[in-house]
Amino acid sequence: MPSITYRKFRMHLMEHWVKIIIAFTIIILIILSIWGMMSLESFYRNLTIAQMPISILLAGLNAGIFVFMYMIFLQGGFTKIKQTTIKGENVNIHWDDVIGMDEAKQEALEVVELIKDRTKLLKIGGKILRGLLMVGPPGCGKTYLAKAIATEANIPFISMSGSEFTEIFVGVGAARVRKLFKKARTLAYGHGASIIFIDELDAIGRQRSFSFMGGGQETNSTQNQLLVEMDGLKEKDYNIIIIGATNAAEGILDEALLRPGRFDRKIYIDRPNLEEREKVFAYYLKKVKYDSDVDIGRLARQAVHKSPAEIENMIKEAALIATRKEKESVGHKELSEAMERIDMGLKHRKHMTKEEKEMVAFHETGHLVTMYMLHPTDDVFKASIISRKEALGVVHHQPREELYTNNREKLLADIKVNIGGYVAEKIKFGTTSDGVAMDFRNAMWKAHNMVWRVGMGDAGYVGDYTIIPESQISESLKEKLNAETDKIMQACMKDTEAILKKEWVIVERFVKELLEKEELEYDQIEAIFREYGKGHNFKKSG
Amino acid sequence: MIPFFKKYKTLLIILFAVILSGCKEPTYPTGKVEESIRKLCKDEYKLDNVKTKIIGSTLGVYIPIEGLVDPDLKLNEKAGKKIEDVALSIHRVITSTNELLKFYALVARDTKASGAEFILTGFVYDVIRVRLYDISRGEYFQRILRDFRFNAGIAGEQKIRELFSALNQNPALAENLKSIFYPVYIIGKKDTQKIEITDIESKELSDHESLFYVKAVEDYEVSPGFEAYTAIFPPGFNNEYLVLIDFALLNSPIKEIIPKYFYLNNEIRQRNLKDTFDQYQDTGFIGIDGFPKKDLDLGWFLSQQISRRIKSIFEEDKKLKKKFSVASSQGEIKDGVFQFKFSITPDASKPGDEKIIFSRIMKMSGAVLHLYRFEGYKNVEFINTAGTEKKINISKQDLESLRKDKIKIDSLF
Repeated sequence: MPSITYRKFRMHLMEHWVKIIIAFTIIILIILSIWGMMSLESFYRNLTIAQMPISILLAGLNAGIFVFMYMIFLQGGFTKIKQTTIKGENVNIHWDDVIGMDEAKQEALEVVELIKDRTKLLKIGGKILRGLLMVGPPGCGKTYLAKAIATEANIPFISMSGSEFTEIFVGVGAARVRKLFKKARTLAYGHGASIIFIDELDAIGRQRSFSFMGGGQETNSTQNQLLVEMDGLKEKDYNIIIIGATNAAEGILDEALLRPGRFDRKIYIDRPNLEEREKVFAYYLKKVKYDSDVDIGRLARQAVHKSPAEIENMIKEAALIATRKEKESVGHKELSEAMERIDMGLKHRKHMTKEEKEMVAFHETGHLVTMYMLHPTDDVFKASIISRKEALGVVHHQPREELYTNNREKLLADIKVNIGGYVAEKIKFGTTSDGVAMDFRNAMWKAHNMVWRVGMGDAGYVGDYTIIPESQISESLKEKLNAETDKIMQACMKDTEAILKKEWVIVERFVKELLEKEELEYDQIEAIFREYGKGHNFKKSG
Repeated sequence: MIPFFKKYKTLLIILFAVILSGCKEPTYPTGKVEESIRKLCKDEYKLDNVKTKIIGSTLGVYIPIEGLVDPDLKLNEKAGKKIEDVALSIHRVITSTNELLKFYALVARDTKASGAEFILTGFVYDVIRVRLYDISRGEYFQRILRDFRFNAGIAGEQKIRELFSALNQNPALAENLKSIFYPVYIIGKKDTQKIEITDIESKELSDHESLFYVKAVEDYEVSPGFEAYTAIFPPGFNNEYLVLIDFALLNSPIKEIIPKYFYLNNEIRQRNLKDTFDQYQDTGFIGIDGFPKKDLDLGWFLSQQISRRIKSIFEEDKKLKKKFSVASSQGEIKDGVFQFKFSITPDASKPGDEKIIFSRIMKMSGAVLHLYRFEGYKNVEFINTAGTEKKINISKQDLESLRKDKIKIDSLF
């Protein structure tokens, strides 16, 4: 087995042979030029030196024109790809920097171990890992994790995006794949291993389509070449690991790509859970100055379903807001504003009459109080009567933790919250506005689903009636199911009315506060409820 | 600036090395020009009989060539190639030397056909300019003086040597010419006289006439009764002759021999032949040895060049060639005055022909003198010797004005 120094030397020769030949030729030409100059008669020697400035100028001009023409007409060649080859140690993203994906990290760590201990693995006859597919929503750190793998394994890392392979000309993508793998093989020869990272794999990894018109031919040929190259790795025994990243669902990718021997291992990188979000917040908040009273636990609860990238963006936005306000550090208000701006869009005040404004305040308070008093899972984080987009007001709420199922109580609570606004308007003014349209739509959709699809009605109808063709459902059954839906709506209405009437003092207090302040934050809302002895008891995260 | 040097240091080092490689002394330094030409001719063209000589700022190069002239009196092709090789060697040396050279004259002389020679005379700066593409090759060829001619001096010298040799061997001839070759054939015993040439100087008086100043040593045994003469003419005394040779006289080109001593009115008298010889002007510039007789100067060079251009104007321009015939053209400069004598005749005389002739010649002359930036003259005389002699004398300023079309030719007639 040749030494690593020799292999690196050979790799450099293989990789840069054209440059070496050019450099060698230039050196020879320079030596010959000097030698030639020395042997020239003095007249021609002086003539040559005198002409040198104009010759250099002309050569530069010619080279410039050539490069210009080359760029304009050939664009550096169709198969020219922008591969970013970085040595492992230069990637410089370590495990500690990867946060908010503990499980994925654990799996990736195993991958690193497999890359490092390849010889050991071969000895005991273990299966060599070739491909690693990272699937997950955007912004969850797939690229970050891939870079961390490269750093920890300390091997060169070639990064490309799937879209860089696609081209209008058939065969160009395939040629780029060949070039990419050739480069990776050379690096693997010199450094013992290399990583190819293909971001947005779905751009070339979608299920192949076969059209007699020839459509999709380019994507097919690119993917075929990728499959061939991945198989080829086995024959040549090069230690190349391909990491693919995609946010496309598994069904979208071609099965051939996912079969064992290609992308053998899949890592699901999901949005972070509460605990992970807290870590993400803590990590990114470290990079900015923030007030000591910022409650990371509350922020994490508020940021349910947010990806690390979104959290990072939120903190950056908060820092910008703080700068604009000429504050020295980021406070909870800025963070809240940033989140609201990202989630709900920018505020734009509409000129409303006093009556209208009062009605909006009662409507939003209806939602707020119903939610606070009746909802089993969600917390109110903000209430506002400032218009945003099409909404005249908003009550911002989030589940206290990730919930992946909804029980009957939660759904009923959702309906009650939805119609809370309507009920409040009716109690106060004896009439209602059309601002309830979207609330009703949501409430009705939930109630309808409860009865028609998930067997949550009182009459004992069990099953998903929506899958039965309409012609096969009797009118009487429809009537009964719809009656059940209505029953849920009426019951919710009754409960909401009862609770609001019971807590009407609180409602009026909130309306007064909202009309005064226009917006109420979590702390203020919590304080008012506590004032009336109704507060929740969530501990502040450490 | 420092970051710039740091960034491009490799490029700058290469440039510096290339430029430094040019900082050497001239390839053919002062004092080595003659030797270098001979060496180049010998090493590169296998010509080992080339001779060189520097006269002031003029480089003379001489090469004897066997068979320079073909039987049809044209330049032999092989000989032409040899001349080219020598000319190339001269050009290489004169462009890469710091020796102050202004002119070069290459003389190729036939070793068989007595007197046939090819002369190439050029201005060093013209050679440099053509290599720098400052002048075209066509213009360059008009600037070189090329003469393929019969050297009356060489042929005349040969005739003189033949005559003196014949005198020693042919007593009858000596008897016939004893009054000319006075006194040795009068005071000497028969068959004891011997005249030996010790030195010959020559002057070309025209393209067919040459004048020779011959020095000789004359030996004899005194005839009885003439012993007293030995006091004046001891055996082995030095004698002198002036010989005029005219090759226009095809059968007997020796036109006249004038001895130093002669007998008149019962007394021996002598002439100062050297003074007489010196009074004649030499029109030739190449000596018997094949080198220029003197350092060439730009005035003379331009007079010769213009006189040749006068001929070429009327021979190379198709329209002019149809209308005019050129018989001769000569040029010289004397005391700051150029004189161009030519014989150009219109084939069918029409009014205004004279104007065309003078206009073309004068404009061309003005242009040539301007291109050489030659200031060493005051006037220029143009003389058409054909028919009734027509002469125009023009000042330097007027010639320049004519060149610039500031004055019309009519005002000069």
